[in-house]
Amino acid sequence: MFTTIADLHQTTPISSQSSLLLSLIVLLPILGALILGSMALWSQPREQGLSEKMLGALGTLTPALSALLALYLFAQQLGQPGLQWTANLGTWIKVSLFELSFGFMMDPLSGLMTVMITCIGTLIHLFSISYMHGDRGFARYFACLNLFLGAMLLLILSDNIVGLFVGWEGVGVCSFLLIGFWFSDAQKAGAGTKAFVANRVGDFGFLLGILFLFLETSHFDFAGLQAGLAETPESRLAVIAFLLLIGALGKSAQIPLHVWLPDAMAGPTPVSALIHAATMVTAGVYMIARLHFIYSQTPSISLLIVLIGALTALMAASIALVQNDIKKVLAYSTVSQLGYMFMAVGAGAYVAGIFHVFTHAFFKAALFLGAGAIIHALHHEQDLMKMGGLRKKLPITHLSMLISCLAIAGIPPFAGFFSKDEILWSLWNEGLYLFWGMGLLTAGLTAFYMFRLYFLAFGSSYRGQAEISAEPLLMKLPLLVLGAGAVLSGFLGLPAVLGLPNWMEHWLSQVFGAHHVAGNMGLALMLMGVSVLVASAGILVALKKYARLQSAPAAATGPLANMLHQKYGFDLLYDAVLVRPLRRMGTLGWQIVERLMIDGAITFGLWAYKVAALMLRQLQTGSIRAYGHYLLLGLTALAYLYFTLHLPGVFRP
Amino acid sequence: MSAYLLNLIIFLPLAVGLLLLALPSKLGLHRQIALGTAVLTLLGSLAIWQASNPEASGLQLVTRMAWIPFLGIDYHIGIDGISLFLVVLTSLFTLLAMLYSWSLDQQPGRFFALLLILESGLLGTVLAANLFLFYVFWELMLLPMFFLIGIWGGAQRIKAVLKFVIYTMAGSLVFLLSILYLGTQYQAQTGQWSFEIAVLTQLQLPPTPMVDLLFLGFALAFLIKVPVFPLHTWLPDTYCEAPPVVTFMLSGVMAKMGVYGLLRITLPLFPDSLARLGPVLSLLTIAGIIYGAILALGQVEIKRLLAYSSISHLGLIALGVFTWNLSSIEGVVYHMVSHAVATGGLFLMAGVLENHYGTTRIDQLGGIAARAPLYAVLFMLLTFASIGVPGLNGFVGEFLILLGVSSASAGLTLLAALTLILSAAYMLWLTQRFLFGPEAQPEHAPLRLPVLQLAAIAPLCLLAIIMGLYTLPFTQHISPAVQNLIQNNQGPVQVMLPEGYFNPTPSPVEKPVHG
Repeated sequence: MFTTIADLHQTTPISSQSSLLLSLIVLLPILGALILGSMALWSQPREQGLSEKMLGALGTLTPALSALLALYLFAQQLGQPGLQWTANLGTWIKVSLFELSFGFMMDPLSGLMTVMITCIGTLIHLFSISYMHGDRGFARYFACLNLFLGAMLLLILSDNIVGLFVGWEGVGVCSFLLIGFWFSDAQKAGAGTKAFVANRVGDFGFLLGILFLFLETSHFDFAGLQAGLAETPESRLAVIAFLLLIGALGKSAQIPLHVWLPDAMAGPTPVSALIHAATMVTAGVYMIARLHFIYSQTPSISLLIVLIGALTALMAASIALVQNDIKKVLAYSTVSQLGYMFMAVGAGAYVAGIFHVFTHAFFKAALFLGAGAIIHALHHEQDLMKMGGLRKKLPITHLSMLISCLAIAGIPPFAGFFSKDEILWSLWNEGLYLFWGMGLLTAGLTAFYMFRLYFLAFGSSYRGQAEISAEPLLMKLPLLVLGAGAVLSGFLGLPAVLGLPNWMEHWLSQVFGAHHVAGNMGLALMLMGVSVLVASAGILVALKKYARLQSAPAAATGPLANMLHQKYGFDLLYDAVLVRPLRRMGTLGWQIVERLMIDGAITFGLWAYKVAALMLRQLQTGSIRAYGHYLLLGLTALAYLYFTLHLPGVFRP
Repeated sequence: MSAYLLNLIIFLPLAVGLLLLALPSKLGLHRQIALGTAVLTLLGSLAIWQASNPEASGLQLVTRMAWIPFLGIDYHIGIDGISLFLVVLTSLFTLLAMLYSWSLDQQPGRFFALLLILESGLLGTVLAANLFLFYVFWELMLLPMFFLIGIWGGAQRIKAVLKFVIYTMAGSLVFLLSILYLGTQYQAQTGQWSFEIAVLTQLQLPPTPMVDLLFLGFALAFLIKVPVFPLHTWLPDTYCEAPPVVTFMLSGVMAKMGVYGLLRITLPLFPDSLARLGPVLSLLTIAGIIYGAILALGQVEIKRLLAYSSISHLGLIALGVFTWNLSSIEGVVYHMVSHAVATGGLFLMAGVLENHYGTTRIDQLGGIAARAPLYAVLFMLLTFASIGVPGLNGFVGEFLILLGVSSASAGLTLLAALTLILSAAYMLWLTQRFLFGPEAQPEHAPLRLPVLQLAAIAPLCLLAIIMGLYTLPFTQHISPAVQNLIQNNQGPVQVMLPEGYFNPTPSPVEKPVHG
């Protein structure tokens, strides 16, 4: 089921080449963020400053430059297999035990991710110019988005795990800032906090994992880690793998840390497309793939990953069935698709996992941007029940979303079909039939809820009141490009089992080692047929139920629907078991421990002192006769003491 | 020449401070003179930073003169990589405190004079190499603090300052007795008197319960000052009642004196007692980390919340001290400065809020970010620094401390790392309630940072970023000094709980591993 060290042995010799351009890819967006951020601070109170066009162009410029640089370096890599770009920006922390630097490394895996992130990032920046038009925080928005991109690229390109962690937390901060972008709404600000704290639970595990990795290997860089872990016993590796996995679960919104992602939809829609669909949330998958040398040695943890992935995929897909907010449907769909990716990397099919990250980035970004275009056209209406018939009004959005729906549903030859089937095939091949079944069921549900969304938004006739405005050019362009990606990106990974060229497999074998594809071509074809059938069935059911809808259907009722509406009660549970008890403990701890017990003890001490003083004061009456009595009493006592101590026997009878 | 610098920065503020107290307040130049002195002192500290050699081992720029010869008490001061940054921190914070409180209404001259005397006390404490001298400066810093809180504090200031003084004096008294007892022990063994810290650490004490008692006697004053749970109860009241700028000095610099005392005096003197009592003390620090964080969650007032967060953070620093290995002590020294920058800055920000709105109660505030973006940005920056987001200064120290702790005990690391979650929870929940959401006081004028207060806060924000990204100027001094400290005082590297999950690390002093 799992590859061995021998399989991981690199076949192509690696040649490292240093290039300053690599660090520029990371630094440019950060520079852009600094410039835009200062502009935002300077201009906001004065309600003036550069025009939106200038700010938007500036904001898009640095990601675009990064994308060009990434493409350039990646093209070089394509031409020269085994080429690995490196860069070093200097020392970060140098202490007695180690020296850490801001080092970057672009290997085939991070190269692919960098190209994807910068290109999609640029498109989404472009889209944002229209979407955020007229917003007071226009400059602030682009500053945060640029900063996010910088942090994300740091995460991907870092050559050591601490650098990855810096980017990891950095994207978390940007995500917090952008989810709570419209912070005057208390609920949206709260969603940001929730996202950050849930991610911090993950980071807690991640950081512990990093510390223990260092104890085992005395290294932080990936090359050193890989070499240093060769001798480590599996039990220790499993603990480390588990701790790191907690981090991945947080960032990639898997059970039990998935609760933040649906709430994160409070942010502007392009943010959801970039951060909460295409890039940041896939960081967990990337991290596991990057540390494949750990996870391929820990079958128990890998199986746990498959299990969590499968449960998450199925759970999120089922919740998506009843959501009426267009962004919530997409959010749960993202959680569900991330579950697929986890199943893949858990089953040791790292290539399939990364392939799905890649294709998913295109079609999910297109779906979110499409949703953004709809929300923009309908003046911030997000309820699917108040949409309908948008096909004529928003033709480009419709086209792009239709393609993407087909892609995510897994209809050939759209991108999602190839990557999802690769995952299902890997699961079957590893003998994980149960999880294959869960994946297949999820695929059916996915097809259904995505086409429910499609028909509710585009089918039938318009049910809403709001006036529909047209889609601007800056929105059409990214939608078209991403739509094209949703068709074409799948061809990078044609199923090798059918004897077709699988470029993705070939390219990433430099990192993960050659994956021996064994298996029966007929069986593979049959399984594909099954999954296409299931997907088509899902679409057909959606067609029948929602295509000819005239008025909004009644919400489903019954115990199952209630459970789905309650999202299986995770939020309620956490609130009841963690959040509220902790807050109450804080208040009670203060009132009881600090106020009552400690301050109380001091107050009691003071009181006792006063009472004693009051009692002793009674002795000082000022009456000579009383003093005479005290004197007599004292003398008697002294005499008694004297005789007992020095002349024993005097008082003895 | 530079050897005199140390004496200069200790006594210049003291002399000027006393002079200013004597001068009639009608003269009116008090603030300017005090500020000039603070600037000079800061320049002196920076010159010392420049002059000190990172490679040298042991104290540098030493001045040593006989003071009370028949008791072996010398006037002996010097600096190394551990004290260096506390010196710079103290002089920087004094200057910033003056900038912040420039437009104080009530007797500003006296206030500034007391700040200068406080600075002398702090600097002397950090630089003293003789126990007796240390004690004198230790007490010197209490005196101005008493007046600063008692005169300029809030409504409940008298109660707060009494609590503060009783706690501190209790610790000091035990400390003095312990010093004298140790001195007599040395005299009994060698026939000579000495109160030199370096000399006393060589003293072999018999492993009796008395030694552990003595250890606790040396630790108590510091544990109170840090403060380590459960000796912390003076802190929230004091921090809330003291004027913001005094809280800034208390949390930023004074709390670090406790850590420094443990690091410099208590643990080197009693390595064996640390081995015996270390586990208990470590568990107390863990209790403090979690207790402080949970109580911070329950606070309804910003200053009190920050006070409890300070208890939690200092718990982590104290844990690093008791772990006593290379990485943890390096982390402690770094984090002392980092924590001062972040928490000190946050207390000043809370002070700005109190000036403007007359309250720091969270339920009476809200939505400040909408009309005061600069304030919100700075507050968020310091918040992220304080909760240890990497790239800002808090992370570096926290990471090093946790790395050190993890080589001693996995269980303690796990518990200590909970601060990652809890600190994010209470700080972000705080900002969510008072910075964000709908505006609570829309009729109130928007919050503006006065220029001089901004000038006090901005350097801290800048430092938070610089110390997060460019650590070399700091660590190149810290690392050799810590190596020196650990080598000369080979305490038990492994204290802690029964079975650590992992066998600890590569032995302490190895050649640095690049990675």
